[in-house]
Amino acid sequence: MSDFPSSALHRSGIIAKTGLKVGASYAGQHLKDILNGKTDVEARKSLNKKNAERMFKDFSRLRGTALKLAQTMSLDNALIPEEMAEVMAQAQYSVPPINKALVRTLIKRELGKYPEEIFAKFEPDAIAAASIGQVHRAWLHDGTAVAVKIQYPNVRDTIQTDMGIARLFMDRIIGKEKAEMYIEEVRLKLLEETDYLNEGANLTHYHQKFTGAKFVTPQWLPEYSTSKVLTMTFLEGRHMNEFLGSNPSQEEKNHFGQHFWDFFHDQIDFSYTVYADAHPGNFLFMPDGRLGILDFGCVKVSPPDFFNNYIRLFDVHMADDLAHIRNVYTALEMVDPNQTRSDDDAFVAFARAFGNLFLTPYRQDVFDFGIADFSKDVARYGREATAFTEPRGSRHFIFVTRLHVGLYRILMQLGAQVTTSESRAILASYLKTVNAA
Amino acid sequence: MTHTHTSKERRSKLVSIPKRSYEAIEAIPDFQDLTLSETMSQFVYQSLDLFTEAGDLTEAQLNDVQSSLQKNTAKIFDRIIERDGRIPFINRFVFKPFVFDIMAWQYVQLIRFWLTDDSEGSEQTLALVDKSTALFQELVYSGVLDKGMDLGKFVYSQLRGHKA
Repeated sequence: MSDFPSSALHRSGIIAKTGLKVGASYAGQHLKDILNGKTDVEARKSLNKKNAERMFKDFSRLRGTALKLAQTMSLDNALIPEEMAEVMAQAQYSVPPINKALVRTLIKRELGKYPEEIFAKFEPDAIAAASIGQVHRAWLHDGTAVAVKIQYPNVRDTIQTDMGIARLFMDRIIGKEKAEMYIEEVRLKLLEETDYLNEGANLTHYHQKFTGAKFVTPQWLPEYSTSKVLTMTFLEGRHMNEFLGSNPSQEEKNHFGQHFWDFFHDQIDFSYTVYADAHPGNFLFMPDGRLGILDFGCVKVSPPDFFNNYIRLFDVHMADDLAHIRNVYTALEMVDPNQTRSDDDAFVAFARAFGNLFLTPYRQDVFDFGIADFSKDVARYGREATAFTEPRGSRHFIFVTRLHVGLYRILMQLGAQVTTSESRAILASYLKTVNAA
Repeated sequence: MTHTHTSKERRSKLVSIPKRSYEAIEAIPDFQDLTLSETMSQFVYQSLDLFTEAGDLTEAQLNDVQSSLQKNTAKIFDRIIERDGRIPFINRFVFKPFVFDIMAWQYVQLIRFWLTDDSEGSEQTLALVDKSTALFQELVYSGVLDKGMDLGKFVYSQLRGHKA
């Protein structure tokens, strides 16, 4: 907490300084380009990286909303320059932890006793520190290894302050109106994430459905949990960066890639609920070959109509039926039914092309996510999407898309070859049921 | 400052809190590995927990026991500084008895702040403890104190030379 600025004034001060530094650096580069009469692409890239490092440093200090935004931005290198996404991806793994003494006090306040009284052993050093809390390893008296997640003090109060902070950056990067919608969705989700009892219930929901041959999720231990402390069984596995660092064989990459792919499709018929925090830091490559899934704070439950229309996109893009594509995007509030927007036709044409590309993996029985062209094309379309500056689509779209985009990004990073025929059947069967209803 | 009568038993319980807090944190696993900031904040947080357990501490009672409380706390701060092997040798010269008295006075002011803190879970107090112990550690572990003393010696010698 010594490095956790909780007051509005302090947080605003930090971000204002960062905003000024970032803004001034771009202005300086712009001026240089004008004077030189050309755009220096390499200098711009280097500046993007430097600014991302500045932003990451400050976001890490601020934690909360700001760090969550860094995590989200790192998922989507279509929204921000690639060199920025690389730096922001650090937010997926680690931020500075809070004081050990404070951890002990917070546990006493929440669970009624000090950690050394509750647990047979409690590691005072955090094993992971992220946006709204940090995780400690501990052992119950019966020997069970557990992970204890402790929420940073004052996190809920900082969320409002952080909205202003986030706007400062996002306005500049993706445009004011779009940023507003995006930030509001993050705000609501982040507030929900501060309720660890809700996360515990999500954990149980997913544990019951998914823990088995392919996946493993921690088990919630409600007797050691409150709204600010979450205790669950510990999963011992490797993060993606460690996995890739061990030079895995293509077969191993395919094995885990398939699990990622299946995880998404196994949620198609799951009460309109999706795991919406698909960044690499939340997955573990388990020694027994299963995919470990962590952090169930960000689970999106969509209205049925929205969710079913989202799945219908699969059908209409696979058929490349323009009229139906337009209808579904209209139902998803991305296209105005009254056709009052001047760029709606351009948007539908763009969405048709992008959607068709996005569904390329489904058109083959086995798809290789390691194909560089596919990755480049997806990123290019993502960048072109920002040309449509008006906000489009319901807010529900954002988190469901986040899962899909996060999944693709992970598979592209893994370079996995994935069998997609079964998932095609899952989607078709689901749509058949929905359309018949 | 309001003074009121505090029973002998309660008084004894309150003024023993610094000693009991230190004994409690000594029992923490890995106590030896704690930094100065961590030890001091553990000590203060533990004290707050014991004051909470003692129940219904009022400002009047705090005033009543302030002197004894400060005396006992100064001894604990002396022990905390004494046991910390990370403090540069030269910086130890700064810690004269009056410094521990000042630190103990600040400890009591912190408890006073806590008594009026209406933030959720006394988070403002937690933050104040955390920030002040972090700053204290920064000062004590760094060469700032050493350099300050060096400057003091220089100024003193110059003044003496000037007078001579």
